Amino acid sequence: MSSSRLLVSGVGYDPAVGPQSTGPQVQQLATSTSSLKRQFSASGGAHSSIFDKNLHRAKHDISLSSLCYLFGEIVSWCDSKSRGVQQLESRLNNLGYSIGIKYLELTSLRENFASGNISSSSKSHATKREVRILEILQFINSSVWKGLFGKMADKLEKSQDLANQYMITDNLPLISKYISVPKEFQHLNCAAFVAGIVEGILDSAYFQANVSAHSFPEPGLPLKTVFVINFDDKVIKRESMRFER
Amino acid sequence: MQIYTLYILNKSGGLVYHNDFQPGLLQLTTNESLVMASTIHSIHAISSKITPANAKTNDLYNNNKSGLRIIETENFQIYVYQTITGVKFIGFANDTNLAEMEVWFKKVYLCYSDYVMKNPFQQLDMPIKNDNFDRIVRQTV
Repeated sequence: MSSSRLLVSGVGYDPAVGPQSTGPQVQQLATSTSSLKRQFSASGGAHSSIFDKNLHRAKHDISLSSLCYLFGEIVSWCDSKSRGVQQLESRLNNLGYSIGIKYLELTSLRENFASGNISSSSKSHATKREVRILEILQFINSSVWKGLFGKMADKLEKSQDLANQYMITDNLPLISKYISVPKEFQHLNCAAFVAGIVEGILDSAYFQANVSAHSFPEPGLPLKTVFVINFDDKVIKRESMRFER
Repeated sequence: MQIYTLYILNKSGGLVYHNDFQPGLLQLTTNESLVMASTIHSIHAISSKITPANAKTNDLYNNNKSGLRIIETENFQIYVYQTITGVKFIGFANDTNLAEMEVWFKKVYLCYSDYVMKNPFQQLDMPIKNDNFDRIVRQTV
């Protein structure tokens, strides 16, 4: 309680008092954070949580069954909360979005760790951030898909008609493997959740885009799903200004 | 082994799934197959009830060890397999035996628990309308 009040009064300019000396308060802050740290380590020993595990573990497999049950519950929960297919799809998309904005951070950290860039602190400047459309899409196509689903996406294409449209194809989306959409939900594709993840990743990488999932069943590939990515016009404009002479 | 038809019954004996695997089978009407399903369900229940007490094992009462398993006719057999939750799989088949059918029933049970029970649009004990399940069951035959 007291430490939070200290934090509030310690930052910023207070017009009622004028410029303040921050000297003693900084010291108080330092002691309060160290006591916080102690609390964390004390609670951490009692029972281990996900925060105690190494971020860089090579294998992070989970059971497909429990994932599917969980996702099935998510879908039926979203269904009960929404009116109509479109609302259900946008709910799933939003849930995925909140994962995507965090997942970019995690996956690029893991990626760079795997290639040895973060192993010593002096080399940390070598971590890479994708700045071109094609590179970030390839990053999603390979690294992100591998991290999420254990395989690469099946195809990455550019639309022939629209300059700002790209498509990622997955022949068997892991998450909707066991989901069979009834006739009254005609156009629903539960991979809208994955589309949301992709959208979150692109948005947090400063490639503003709209992503949607569509089913394209083919003989032999009944669950084939295409993720259509529509970039904002300004992203395309920025790309052409920077890289095309 | 030749399997003609699969029925799935929910735990109260209602027919929730019907799939024919061979072309050119003589068809029952919907009503007749419903009657067939609930009759087999009832006979299964009664036959497990009249099992002598000393023959009963320590297993759960609704397993398939005390109920109906085969109905034979001249040209084909009807096999019954009950799961622990009371769902019944009924197979119409020919040129096969109980052991072979048990193996097949276990495969179907696996598909059922994957493609039917993990589908968020499936309501419990309701008819199964599921393209994925249709396809995957067909592959097991």
